[in-house]
Amino acid sequence: MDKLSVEEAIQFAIEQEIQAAELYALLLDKSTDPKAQEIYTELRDMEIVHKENLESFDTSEFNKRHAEQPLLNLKLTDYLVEKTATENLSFQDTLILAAQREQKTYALYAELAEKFKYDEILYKLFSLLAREELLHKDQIETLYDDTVLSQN
Amino acid sequence: MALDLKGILAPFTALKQLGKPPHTVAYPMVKKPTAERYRGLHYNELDDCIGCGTCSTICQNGAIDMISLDGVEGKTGDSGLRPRVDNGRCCWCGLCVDVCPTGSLSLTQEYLYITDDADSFLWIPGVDNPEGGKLKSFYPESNAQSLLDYNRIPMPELEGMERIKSYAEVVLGYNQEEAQAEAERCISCGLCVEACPEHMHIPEYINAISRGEPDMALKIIYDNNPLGELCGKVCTRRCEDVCSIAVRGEPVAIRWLKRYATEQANNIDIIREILDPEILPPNGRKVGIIGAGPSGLTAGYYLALKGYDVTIYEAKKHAGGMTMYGIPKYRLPMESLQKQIGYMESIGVKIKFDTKIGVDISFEELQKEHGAIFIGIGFEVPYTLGIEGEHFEGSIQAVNFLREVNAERPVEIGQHVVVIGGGNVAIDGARIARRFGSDVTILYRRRVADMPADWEEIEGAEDEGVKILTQAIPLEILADKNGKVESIKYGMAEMVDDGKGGRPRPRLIENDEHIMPVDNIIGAIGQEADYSFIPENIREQLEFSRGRMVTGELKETKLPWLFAGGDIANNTADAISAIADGYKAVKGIEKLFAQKGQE
Repeated sequence: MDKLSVEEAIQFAIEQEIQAAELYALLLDKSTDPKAQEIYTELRDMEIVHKENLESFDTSEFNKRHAEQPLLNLKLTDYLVEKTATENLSFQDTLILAAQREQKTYALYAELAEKFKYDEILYKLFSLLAREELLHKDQIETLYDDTVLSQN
Repeated sequence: MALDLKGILAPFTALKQLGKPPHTVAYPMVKKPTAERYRGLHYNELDDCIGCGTCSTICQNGAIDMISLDGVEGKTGDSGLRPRVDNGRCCWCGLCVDVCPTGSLSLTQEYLYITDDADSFLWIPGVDNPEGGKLKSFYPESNAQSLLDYNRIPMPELEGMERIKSYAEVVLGYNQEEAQAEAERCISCGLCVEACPEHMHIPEYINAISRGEPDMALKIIYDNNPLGELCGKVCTRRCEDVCSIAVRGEPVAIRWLKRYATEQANNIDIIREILDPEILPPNGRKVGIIGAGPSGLTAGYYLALKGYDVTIYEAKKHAGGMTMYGIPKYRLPMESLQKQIGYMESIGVKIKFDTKIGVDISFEELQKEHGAIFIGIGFEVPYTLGIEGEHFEGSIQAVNFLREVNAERPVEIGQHVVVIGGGNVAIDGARIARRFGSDVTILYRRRVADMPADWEEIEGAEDEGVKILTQAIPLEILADKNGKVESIKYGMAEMVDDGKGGRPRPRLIENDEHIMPVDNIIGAIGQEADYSFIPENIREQLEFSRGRMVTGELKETKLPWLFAGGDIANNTADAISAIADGYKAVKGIEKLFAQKGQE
């Protein structure tokens, strides 16, 4: 991926969202825990919305999208044990898995932004995508803080 | 004839008075200064007023009524009503000010009010005289001037270091004299009733105690709470949070008064004799209840009174749920719980112990046997810390630790113990560990002010020597070469605003990590429910939100014959909310059977 057009970059991001949605759909299908199922359903639907947003993405929106939405970055994923996508994860592990996936996707986009720094539009695009992943991670970490860590 | 010069000039001598200031006041253009503490027209600080209505109750002339005002909304701890004074009736005795618990009501230097419209004699202090606050003359300058007693009768309890020598109950309870004195502090405003999830008849039972009638108080308590003694010992007492006396003083000890009234009936026979319950003849309708926690017991009790054939299926050896296995005996002695549950059994509630649904009896079988099912299984599965090293020997969960201790099974614990969490379970775990002689430190991610635990429990823990380390995030559990816990690594946190008005959230500070040597780590960060006993085809028809079952006003689920309550169906997760759920479900179940009867 040394050279990339904006369209290809967006297509790449769409594929990331599709993969994520498919994974959550698969885990939802395998899960028997209603609490985890609820989270998988939300995550799958969220990824589908992201995919649709990317499909109608307009590069002129760079400066508008989430520019002012502050990041909390609770850093929960920094010290929680890494989870792998397996059948019948608990509600807690589902949230950890999702937050860690968002963190990894953020790292990927951040790396791509750095790589395509010479191309202003690609740089802005990947930086925006990276920031969006951090926002998603924030949402999941906040939910984890409110539910799993309600007594801590 | 001599000239009467004096007589001629005398009238003109009056002219010299013209230059002198008058001795009279040019009333009503100029007002005479009022005396100190003058009792003129009322003024009310609208934002400070909580609409308790004590002013209206005390008024001997019936001059004050409570009305709603545009722009003043009711909320927990504020009725949303404000006093209106009929100046045609008021005699300015000032009693209303003397009993105002918030100090919002005052009398002013204003004494003039002229109108030819009789209706306008009704006025709303603070609204009709918004500037009246500058003219206040009769108002409580200190609590000592009030007719109310702002200081609580202290609750006798064991001294901190004495407590940790045993599991003896820490709180010793009021005697009659103390209870009556404390009950007399109540002004019967009733704001507490709204705040109580079960809407208990609080002023009524407190009044009964103040009259020296604990039996009557017990009857009133049992009207909608069959676990009054449990609540009298461990309730989260949201009622006290909104007590109007607490605005300027200590809230009435509602929980301790309930404890006093319920403890007077010290065995099942006495409870039965006092309550003399009316038990309706059997109606042939069968209800199955899963879980003998507070919600299931409450539903079972009131259904049994109404003639339903109730069976509670309890997986463990004893009833009570988390109140039996999670709350330490120094807070809620076993005998107290057994007495309350024994009374329920005596009126016809059947409890099948050691009966696990899905193992000893299938859910389908249960469904077949009963016209309605209520689930109240509680949150008994602990969340893990989720950090490295949690599997090492010596890392345990508070709910398991407390369960083993309460079941009087042997438990081993080391000299240095760290408890992770800030809820009541964490505090209970810490205080029990102290009774094992351990040095105990609580690590909590937020601040003491953010702790969900009862503040009296936090203070109790500190009195017993528990140390609390705040804004500390556990990062890793470290072990020796044998896999035994050796220390815990934690990092310090900064509190960040979440931008949504919620409580601040802790964020790990980079490179501020510490290691604490420790023998045991007790996790107490929260719990969840285990729904695996519900068959998948039924689970699929239910709605869940954030780990809880979604239920309606009468605790009904998506399936008409299935109800749920307690921790799995409310966001407050305390005993009184569970009791409220069980009580609501009774109405829901009655409604279900009534509808069935019409079909």
